Amino acid sequence: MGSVIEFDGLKEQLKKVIVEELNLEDIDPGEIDDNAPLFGEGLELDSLDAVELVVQLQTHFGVEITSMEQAKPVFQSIETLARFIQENQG
Amino acid sequence: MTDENGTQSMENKETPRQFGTGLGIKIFYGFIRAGGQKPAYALLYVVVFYYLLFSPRARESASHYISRRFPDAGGFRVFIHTYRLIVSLGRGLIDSAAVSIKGTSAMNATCPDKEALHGLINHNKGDNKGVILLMSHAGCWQAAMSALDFLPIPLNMVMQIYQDHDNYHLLKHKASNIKVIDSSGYLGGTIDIMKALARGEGVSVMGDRLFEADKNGLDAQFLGAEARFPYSAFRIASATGAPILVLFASKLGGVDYRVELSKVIRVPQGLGRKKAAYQPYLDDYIASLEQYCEKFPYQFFNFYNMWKL
Repeated sequence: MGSVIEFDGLKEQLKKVIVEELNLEDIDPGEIDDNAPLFGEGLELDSLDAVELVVQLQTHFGVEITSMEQAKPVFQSIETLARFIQENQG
Repeated sequence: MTDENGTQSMENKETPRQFGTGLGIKIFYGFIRAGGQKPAYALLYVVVFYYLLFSPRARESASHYISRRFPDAGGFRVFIHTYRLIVSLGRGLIDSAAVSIKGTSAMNATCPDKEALHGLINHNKGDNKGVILLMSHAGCWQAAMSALDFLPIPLNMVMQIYQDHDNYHLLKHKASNIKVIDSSGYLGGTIDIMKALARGEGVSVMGDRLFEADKNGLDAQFLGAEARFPYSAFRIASATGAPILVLFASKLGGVDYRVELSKVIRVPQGLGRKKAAYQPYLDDYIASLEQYCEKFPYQFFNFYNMWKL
């Protein structure tokens, strides 16, 4: 139960970081669907937002994306991104 | 860069390669193999003349740049300017082909700014920031890469492998310190670009041509009218802290090329995703590009209407 709450908290924190650091205007972090695509549809981030995202993941969560192969499954949604952070945080 | 998830759609521009057919290219290769570049140049002068005479499409594709670079020219003068532009492009392609056939001795590429580049690169290497080499479709980028082989770091060339197949293989073949990042791949290769910069390496991107699917365009005054340019280099620079080294390659005559460091653009970190924040840095690059076009009017090779917004 505790770890579920922790994971939910991580997802909320992640949404806040994305909205604030990427300056996503008119988007309320609370309204972001955990499973909506980050790129393309959903949040409609583009390839240059990925640059910011990589920097912010390192700054706020201390995790590093090291390759395209790794990024593809991780950047699918808030859910996959949060799981990656959870598994890789030191 | 891609605009969204997934691969990029085809470029909307007429590329120089479309100016030649498969058979035509084979004939030029035959001339180069048999006698070097000079007989191939001689053939080129004749071929381009007939090509421009009978291909309205070729004249039209060159007209966008020619009409802005030479706004007062009309009729016959336009034809002459167009002829010189296409011949200049063709000579560059012949030189590139000669390098792929005969090796780097077929081209004499120099860089007078070696010392400055060394200093900049070593400074950033220590910070693990790398450098962004901002280049243009001007002169001959293959010559630029040859001239930069003295650099003490690996260079990553951002290009669309499927679109620029020949150059990709040419790079793989001839330059061991040059790696290729495929911009048509996932997220436009941005993750690989960032990792290369974090390793203190150089990343070479083109600053003057926007792809059809690219939302990352910014409008700026270029040769007297608003044109659209990519601004991805500036945004990556802001995210990573890497300086942008604006480089131009120019053909001086014969097989002599020169690569010059025009300026260093430092974009402040943390500018975020608002396009307008990058306008001054794009304008700075365009000022250099205009100076280049002033000095080398027949060495700017963008054959599409970049002024059509």
